[in-house]
Amino acid sequence: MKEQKGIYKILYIIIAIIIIIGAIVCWKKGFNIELMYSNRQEIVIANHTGLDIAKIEEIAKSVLQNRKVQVQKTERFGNSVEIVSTSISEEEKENIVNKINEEYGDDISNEDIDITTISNTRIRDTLKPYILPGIITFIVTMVYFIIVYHKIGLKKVLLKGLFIPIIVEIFFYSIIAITRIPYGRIVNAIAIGLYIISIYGLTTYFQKEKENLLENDKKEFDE
Amino acid sequence: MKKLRLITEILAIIIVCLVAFVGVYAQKYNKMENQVKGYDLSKDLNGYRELVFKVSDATEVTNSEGTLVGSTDDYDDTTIETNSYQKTENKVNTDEELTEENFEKAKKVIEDRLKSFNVEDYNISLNHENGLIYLQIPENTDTDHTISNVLQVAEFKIRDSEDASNVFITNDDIKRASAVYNTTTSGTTVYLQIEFNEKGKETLKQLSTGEYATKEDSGDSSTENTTNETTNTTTEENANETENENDVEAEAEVSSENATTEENTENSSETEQTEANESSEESTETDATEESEEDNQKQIILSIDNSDMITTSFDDPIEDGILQLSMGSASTDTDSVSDSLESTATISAVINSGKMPLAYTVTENRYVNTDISNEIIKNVIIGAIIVIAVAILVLIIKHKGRGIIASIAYIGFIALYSLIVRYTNVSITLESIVAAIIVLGINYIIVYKLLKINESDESLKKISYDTEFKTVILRLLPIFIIGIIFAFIAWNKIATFGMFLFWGILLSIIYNFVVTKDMLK
Repeated sequence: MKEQKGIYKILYIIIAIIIIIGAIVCWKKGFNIELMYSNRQEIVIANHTGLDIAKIEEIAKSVLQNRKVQVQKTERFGNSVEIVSTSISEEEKENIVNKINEEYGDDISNEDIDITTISNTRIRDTLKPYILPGIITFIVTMVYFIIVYHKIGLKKVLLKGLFIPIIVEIFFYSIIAITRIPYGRIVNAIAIGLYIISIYGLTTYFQKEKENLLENDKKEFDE
Repeated sequence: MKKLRLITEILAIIIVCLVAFVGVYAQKYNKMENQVKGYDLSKDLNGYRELVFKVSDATEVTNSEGTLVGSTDDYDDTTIETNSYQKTENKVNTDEELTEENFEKAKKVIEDRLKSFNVEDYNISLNHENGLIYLQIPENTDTDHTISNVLQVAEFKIRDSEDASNVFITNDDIKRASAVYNTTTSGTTVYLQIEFNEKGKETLKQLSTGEYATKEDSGDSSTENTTNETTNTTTEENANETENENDVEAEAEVSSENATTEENTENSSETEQTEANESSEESTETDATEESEEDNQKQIILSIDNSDMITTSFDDPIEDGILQLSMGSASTDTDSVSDSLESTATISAVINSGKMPLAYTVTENRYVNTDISNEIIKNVIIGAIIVIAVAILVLIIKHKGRGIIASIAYIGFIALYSLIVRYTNVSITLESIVAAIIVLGINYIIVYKLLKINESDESLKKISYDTEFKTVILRLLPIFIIGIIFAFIAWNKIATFGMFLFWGILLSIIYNFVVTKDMLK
């Protein structure tokens, strides 16, 4: 039992350290934002014969070195691609167009291609839609916990019910900040999944505690 | 008997698996087509429409009388020349208006309109320096309709028909606009109902009782008649002149609560009267207007984005601050009524979201394929299959024969779950994939727990199963409730997550209680 408590203590300390490091990384460097949500520039290139995404990506990456690059097909005909990167200069645009012309034997004109600058989507805007449902369900869950599991100790239910889901989320985002995994759509989707798992884990824990309590009561009564 | 039952259940599961994973093929137009419904993919997985909105640098365009009719964004040089319009030097967006506050406000209005048009899955960003707005919306049949309406300035005005500078009511005086309808024997009439706030109500009352009240000797039979007739004429004129404001379609909130009010009944009977007399009155209409002009009847013009919708005077005082404008004549044709209702609902949605502080133009409008390639999806599916295979293997190694049965039941659950989400029209988002993974994990835990029940005594076995299911339900109840709440949230990502969770948990409990338990017995 003592050994188990010791392991838990070490675990709590590790979690606390990760959260602190995560907060520092966030404060100093921020998240590594997914290209789709960051400040970016894009160009659209189209020809008559069709463009191979893999090939264009290779060309774009060779020109736009050390930068995030994303190449996506646009329109339905497979002859138009969008090259997105954190920055694209006029010279780089010309370079890309020339290389594509060489590769496909095209004569795509540089003048026909504009560089569009797109602003970032604010993190708070990406999180905003999750806040209201998060708060509503959190309150409902807490009320459920208090009604069903108050017998195992109201303080325990309130503390664990309140803090565990929050700590799980903070811990997850700290890991994302430290490991520099791009913050974006997938991260938010996983975060909401972790929230559900933490609620499920808490319910299982409280349920077990309640069953143990009832069993002890029954034993005491039998004795 | 028990064996036969088990074989039947296994066969049933195999059939469900075949239907879900392979499909049911039938010949259609000389090719075999899967009859099983496909997955509805969201913007993140299916591609999206990418739009860039730029603050307009257009200048105002006036007609030969000097009245503002639009901007150079609305008319090309040929149209301007054909209609004898004139370009002015006045910019639609003055330099003073190009502030960060107005850029933010414009973004907010666009977001409100997207919500009104039920576009829940969007990504918007704003360049605070030049006001450039970037928008991603899902690609579907409503996308073009959304684009054509989302940028409307929606400047609402009630002004003097003679003096354009004499504006009485603007957007600031509107409380709410809605589309309402009323059905009578002659058909259904759709109305744009505009409810004014206290200030607007007072102004409207003053207008309808003051010099804009219909003079008794002016020859007008009814305000509403004039209104209806003028509306139709104006709409037709606009359709000839330009393709902007009045060709809007709609799907926003439609309120029918006022459809049965006395006021509507009055309007409708008047509309009926209008219809009946339409042909005979057509010739006298002009005379009546001329007569009213002679009598110096003052009239107001109701306009949206400089497009005059109605020119009228008031027969009766409007004291309740509610103005109902009929949008076309009564019709018995369902499609026509539906179209009319849609366009009216769009106008009301656009008005409700407020006036755009700046005029914007679309500079980029293209469909973009998803960045989540087929290869990524393929890898994820392969990964999921490997994880499930390992999990199943654990069941088989640990529980041998019963493990095999439990595994078959588990695969059957996956098949049934995939069919349910397809037929309940839940779209696949990244969030719903996460929800599905959670459901599959929870279902695995349930199956694992059921496998542990191995009592030889039937009554003991029954008690154990009942206790286990009671525990399962209690443990799943909070996340089941969360699933229901999420499903009602008007944000596609959360809603699909909730729906996947809801259907998954519900199915897991029922399926394991009915099928898995029975097979393991």
